[in-house]
Amino acid sequence: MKPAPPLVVIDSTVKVQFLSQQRGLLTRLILLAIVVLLVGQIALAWFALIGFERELEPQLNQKANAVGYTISSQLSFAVGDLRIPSEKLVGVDAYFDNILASNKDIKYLSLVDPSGNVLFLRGILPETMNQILAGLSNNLGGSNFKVNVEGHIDGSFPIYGIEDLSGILHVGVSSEHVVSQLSQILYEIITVIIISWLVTFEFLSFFMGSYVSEPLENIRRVLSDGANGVFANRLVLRSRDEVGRLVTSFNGILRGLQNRYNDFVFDARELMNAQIDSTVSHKISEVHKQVNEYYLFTGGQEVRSINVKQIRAPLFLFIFSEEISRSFLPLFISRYAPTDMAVPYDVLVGLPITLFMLAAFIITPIGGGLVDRFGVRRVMLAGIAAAILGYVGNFFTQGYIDLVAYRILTGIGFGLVFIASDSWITQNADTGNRTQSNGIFVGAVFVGITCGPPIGGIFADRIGFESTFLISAFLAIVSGYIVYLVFRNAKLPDKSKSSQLMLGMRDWLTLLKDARFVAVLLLAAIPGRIMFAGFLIYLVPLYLNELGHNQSSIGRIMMLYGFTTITFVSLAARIADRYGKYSYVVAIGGTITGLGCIVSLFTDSVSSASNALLIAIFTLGFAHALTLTSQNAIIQLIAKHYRGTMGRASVISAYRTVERFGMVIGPLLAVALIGAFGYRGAIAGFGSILLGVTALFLIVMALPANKQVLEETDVANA
Amino acid sequence: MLKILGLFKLNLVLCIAMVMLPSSGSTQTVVDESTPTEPFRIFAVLWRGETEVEAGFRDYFNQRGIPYEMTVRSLDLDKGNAPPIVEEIKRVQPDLVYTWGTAATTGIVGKIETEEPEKFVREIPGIFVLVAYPKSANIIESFEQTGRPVTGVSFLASLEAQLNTILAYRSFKKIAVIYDITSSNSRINVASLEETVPKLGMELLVLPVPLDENGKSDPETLPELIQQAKDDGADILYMGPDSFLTRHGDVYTASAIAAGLPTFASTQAPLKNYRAMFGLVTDYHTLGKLAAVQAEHILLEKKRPEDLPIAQLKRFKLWINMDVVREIGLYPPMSMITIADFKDSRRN
Repeated sequence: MKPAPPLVVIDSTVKVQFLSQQRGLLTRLILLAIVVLLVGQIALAWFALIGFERELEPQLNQKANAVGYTISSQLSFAVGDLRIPSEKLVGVDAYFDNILASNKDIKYLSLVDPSGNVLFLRGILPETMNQILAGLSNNLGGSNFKVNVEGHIDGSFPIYGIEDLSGILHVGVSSEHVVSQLSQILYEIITVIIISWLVTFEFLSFFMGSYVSEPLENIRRVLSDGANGVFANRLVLRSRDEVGRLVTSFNGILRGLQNRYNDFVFDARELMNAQIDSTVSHKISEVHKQVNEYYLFTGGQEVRSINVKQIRAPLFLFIFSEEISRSFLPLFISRYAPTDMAVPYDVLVGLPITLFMLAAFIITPIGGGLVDRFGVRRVMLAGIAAAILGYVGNFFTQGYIDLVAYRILTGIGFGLVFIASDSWITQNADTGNRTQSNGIFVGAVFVGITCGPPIGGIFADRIGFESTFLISAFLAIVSGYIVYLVFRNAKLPDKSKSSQLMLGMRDWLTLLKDARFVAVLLLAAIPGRIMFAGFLIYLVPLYLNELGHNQSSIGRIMMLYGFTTITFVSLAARIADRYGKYSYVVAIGGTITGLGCIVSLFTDSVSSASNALLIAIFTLGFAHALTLTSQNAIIQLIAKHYRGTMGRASVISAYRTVERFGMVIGPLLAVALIGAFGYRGAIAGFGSILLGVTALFLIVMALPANKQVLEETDVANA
Repeated sequence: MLKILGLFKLNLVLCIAMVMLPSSGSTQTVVDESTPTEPFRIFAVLWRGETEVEAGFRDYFNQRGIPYEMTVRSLDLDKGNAPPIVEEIKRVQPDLVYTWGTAATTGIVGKIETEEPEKFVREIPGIFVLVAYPKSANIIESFEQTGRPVTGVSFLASLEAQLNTILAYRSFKKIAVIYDITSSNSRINVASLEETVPKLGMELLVLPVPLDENGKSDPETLPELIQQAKDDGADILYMGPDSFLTRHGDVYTASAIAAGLPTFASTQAPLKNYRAMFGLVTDYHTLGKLAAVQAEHILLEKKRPEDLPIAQLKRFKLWINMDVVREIGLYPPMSMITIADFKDSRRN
């Protein structure tokens, strides 16, 4: 007799997966969607920019005209009505400066006497003005615009004295300002295009996976079971689309076969009972037995389309919702933080971020118990609801205290969603591919980290910080709706599994005595989280704001982190797996980021400071890509070492829980570093700390005892 | 005898007022048919006859259709004329007493503390206008809470605003203030100048007007004082709320122009009637309307004057006399040209 088919069919996901390695339906669909999107988006952007440019010159002329008439009428009043000789006008420079400051597209203003001598000039050098004047014809009637040297459009306006012409006002407009605004919009368009790809990819994989690939794969499994004579299974899919109908009719066929088998059994029994000759009835019985041996029609299983991946779309949306405020959160807090308290102001700005992380950190073990009691779906929905309340609360923020309270509420929601997702993956993946399924989790997180800041920044520039929290709330609501819909298919929680994850006191002691475990945790994982929460989340937005970037720009720069990680993570995983030198890979990551941060010390201008920050963020993203798989691999090797005493999943879970504590201390460390050394010094300080702990990490990992154990298990792994 | 003379003067002023202001005579009734209430009776005590302030006050009540009767008396520049008017007010018991200037206000309603309350109107709600320093003159306790059934409107721009206007015109270095030491207003003004001017990086030159044999400030000395200011290195003259200087504004401003010194005025008269070069002043008509708003709170809304803070105007008029500017040769900066009001005989 053939063995019964497995209970649940599980997709074998490979590591952190962003595009399926197989050239499947999904890959083709996504490529097609991206190509179509790209063509459409580029065309749209192109037409928008062309139209913008076409409007540009007449608009600039209009602007120069409006400003020119206003100034010339005021000058004419002073010269003509008040009879102040034009060369004796007072405070013209300050007056011109004022107008230039509030009209960025006006490049210069100049008052020239009728014989062509420059009386007053602001905005450009006198030599340039003389060049412009030389290039102008002596046409003084009305306003006559001519394109001039250096891309300026000059407009001249006559100023009449008591009787005759007493001066000419020149207004120069420059396209520089508009061009820079245009490029800002272009950057935003490109950002939105990239993010629309990522979102398209997330949702296409979600829908294709849930409603097409997975059911088809299940049908394939059942069919291949059929080829082996197993017809006892039944497919479960709540869907009325094409695939759903196929599954329904497929189930019909299976049921038909089962009915026919039942008829056959009945007939055979009837026939057997009707026999007097025991040899004949024995033969019939033998045939019946043989049929049962070759074919299986009863005692089969329900094959559900439970896909570990299903968590990815709602998890992505949820992370997206939290990341929306990423580019402005510290600035938002700084507006409400009181300055007259015993606690220093800077600490008050960093505190809500720390408390958010702390709330998430503390709720995690409690959340595990809740999952056991109420199931993944309910805990997840509760977490999302808490986060939504937090977002809406932040929209209505009146003061510091309620801001902090709502941030903590969102943090609690965040922690609940994390532990529920974790449990979901544990429950729905067998031990063999549990760690691989972890890639789903990390993938969703990083796509969210990539999409959130730039989109949030674009919104924050236009509708303000508070209103942008409503975008977060909206995304979280959609996330909750998907969880509500999709997880209806989910079976009841496997009560034992989540609690299995909790380590006992003795296991903890064992782990904490393990130098490698402690080294990876304290010298690699926690510093990484500190960098994320302290440097990226807290320091970067504040520093970029001080450097004069707007929210869109801050969000775009922060996107670099997630984008770099996504881009390099598969490559890094493959390299790490090929050479197996996980400790070195982790050390390389720490060193690169450390050096990337120290670059900040050697900057002396706003643009070089921004570039140095870009380098630091890029190296941080790159290093996280490098170390992500390798850290996990080391922990898995360590867990393997304790096989038999404690579950591998438990070790990993414990590691991940403690690791998150880095996010709690990160912002406070950043506050302290900035307070002591300023922004540039703080970045370099982060870099130095990272280099220090990385060196220590290498030393610990190179100790013979540790090395040996790792290599042993390494071999075992291979 | 003196008393009779005073009464005679008073009646004369009243007659003139009635002749000159036929439409807004000394006793005027506007009846709104929708509110058949008795008109409010307002008793106005002025210092030197009607001004634009009263016109503004009347305009507001007329526009709002608030029925009122206004009885007008003038002290005719003599505080000694106050007691008979106090008697009259006590007799007619008006709904509101309106006083113009520090002297009329202290003469009619008195200071906060007084040993002879029977000599003043203490119970009837009062409103004052054109009192430069009501708190320093002990008419009220503070601008927020007057501490008595009297409130009013403040008409001076803050000293900081005035001095900043001076600095915006030119970076003047040394301000000279010539003042009447017999006037409390002037003394208060000089004290605050002494405090504020150095803070803004300027020097202050204080020149009190010498007294004549009667113990009064001697107007004859003004030209010399101005020349002295010039010789001592002052580059601008400051004219505060000083009624002595206002009375002799023609001599003062003419001497200033002769000495080539610009004059900044913090009140309207030296700009309107004489030849101060520029100033930051209240528009009297607007001020009158603001006083009327205070009066409306008291009469219609029945608010207690002690609950009404002193009202202040948000905007002041930057006034420049271009004729003087041209004579002295100090042209205003462009930033002022776009916002100032100009007095200019040569403009069409």
